[in-house]
Amino acid sequence: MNQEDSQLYQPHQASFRDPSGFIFSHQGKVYRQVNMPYRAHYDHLMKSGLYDALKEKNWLVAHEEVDIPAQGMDAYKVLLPSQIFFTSYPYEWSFSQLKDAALRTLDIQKLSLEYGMCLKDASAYNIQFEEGTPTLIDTLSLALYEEGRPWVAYRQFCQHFLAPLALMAKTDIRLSQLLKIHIDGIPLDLSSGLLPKRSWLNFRLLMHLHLQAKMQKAFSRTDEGDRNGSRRPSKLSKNGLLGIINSLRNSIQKLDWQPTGTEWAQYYQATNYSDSSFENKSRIVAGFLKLAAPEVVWDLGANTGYFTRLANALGAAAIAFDVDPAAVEINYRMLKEKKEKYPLPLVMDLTNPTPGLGWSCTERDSLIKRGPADCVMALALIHHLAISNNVPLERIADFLSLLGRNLIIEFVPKSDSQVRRLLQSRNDIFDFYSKDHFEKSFSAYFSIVRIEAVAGSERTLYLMKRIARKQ
Amino acid sequence: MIPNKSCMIAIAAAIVAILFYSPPAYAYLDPGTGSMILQGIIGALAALAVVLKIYWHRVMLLLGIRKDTRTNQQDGSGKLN
Repeated sequence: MNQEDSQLYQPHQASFRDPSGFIFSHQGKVYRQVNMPYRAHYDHLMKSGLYDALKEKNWLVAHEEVDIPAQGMDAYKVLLPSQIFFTSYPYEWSFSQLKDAALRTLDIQKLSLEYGMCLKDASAYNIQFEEGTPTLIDTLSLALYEEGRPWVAYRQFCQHFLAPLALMAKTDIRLSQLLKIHIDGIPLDLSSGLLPKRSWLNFRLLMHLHLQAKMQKAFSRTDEGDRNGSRRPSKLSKNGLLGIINSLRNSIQKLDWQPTGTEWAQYYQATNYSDSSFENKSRIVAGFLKLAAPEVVWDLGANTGYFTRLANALGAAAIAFDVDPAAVEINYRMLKEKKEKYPLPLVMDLTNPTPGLGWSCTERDSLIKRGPADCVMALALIHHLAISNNVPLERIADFLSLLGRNLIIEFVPKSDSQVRRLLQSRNDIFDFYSKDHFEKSFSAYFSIVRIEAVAGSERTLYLMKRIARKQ
Repeated sequence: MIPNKSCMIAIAAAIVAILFYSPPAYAYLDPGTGSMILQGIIGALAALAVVLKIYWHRVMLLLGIRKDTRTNQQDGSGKLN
């Protein structure tokens, strides 16, 4: 393949472990190449009716077979899958999002067995939330089922799903962040050690986590006698496998976490708006959104997604980011209850946003790399960054200009009661924190299109458009 | 050198075999020895649980405590569920 051709086909940074095929980009679209080793499995998937069954339920990403030239001698087919709206990662999901992704994986596994197929991997990165529902995006995960073989993905499932969920529910919700450090799921021995002693009384957690951790350790030692691999392979009947799947499903179904008691959960009850000023704010934001007419909106510090839903109502596909897992959880539960397709709620700490992770630091994209959005909303946010986190206004402007082409931002002055509360117990070193300085700092990165004061409050809303960066 | 007929057939068969042979694309993952063994154990327990459930049902039938409803639930759901 000459230089020109190789530039047209960009293999995806995260797709290299499975010899069955891989993902690549070509002219702005993402494709999946299917290789010969997977041929029999793919044909069965398509002919047996499993693909249709999964597609109908929206459990598996739909695809078309296309005629573009493949790469390498090993190619069988090229597929054009339905394009994903936004790639999110398990360490950005709330408790129920990870739980639903886990249950969906098990349901897909159960259904596949009815058609003589089985999941050969069970990674949380194979699930994406498309239009509000967890969807399997790796078509090549489905392989022909060989009765008698244990489930090869059982360990992976427990590390990616069961262990983090148990830790979030029983130890601390923040432990989902361990998924950032351990990119193949949280190791079972670590999970076992962090879970409360009471979890040993839970029969299913005892088997799938504690006991499995012990067995992993016991059999990882390479004794002299076993060096030649003479161990007889374990057998697992189909009913045994179904028993394990049901057991895992029940275990996960019973795990629960209530989003109360965190700092932000009762936020909207205790805000700084009179009802009419809240209405004014909504009206102004809606006006700005209509002007900017974005297709994709990132709502930063979205809390439970009130303004994100405003963007959705005006025709944008929106993502609601918030640092508080409780707010994201409430947002997601609302999404499910109302059967909405958007927004996509995600956990994100803007002072330490998701970095590039995995192989070569590019396997899992950073937040910045997944942008820019057409429009970023930063409502009731700036004082948390500038005052609580001591970030200079220039740097906030710089960062926001990386994330979006347009910006709707609310300036919250020192006279505001929220800011007064933040300054209560600390020295006021924020001489720079003023409306004038705010406008000056942001003008280096944006041109200010509209300014409107929110009647009934001390705050001001701005609509800004990103300009070329001054070097 | 021109190959004879049986040689040609052998070559053709070899080519067909190479083109159509799909080696198991099954497991590129490391399943973990301990995890596989554990599944064998759990699977055996699940199968045992199913047997016990049937056996228990028969005992109850015999004693006249339960009626014969002739259910056919062989989905492997046993005590582990």
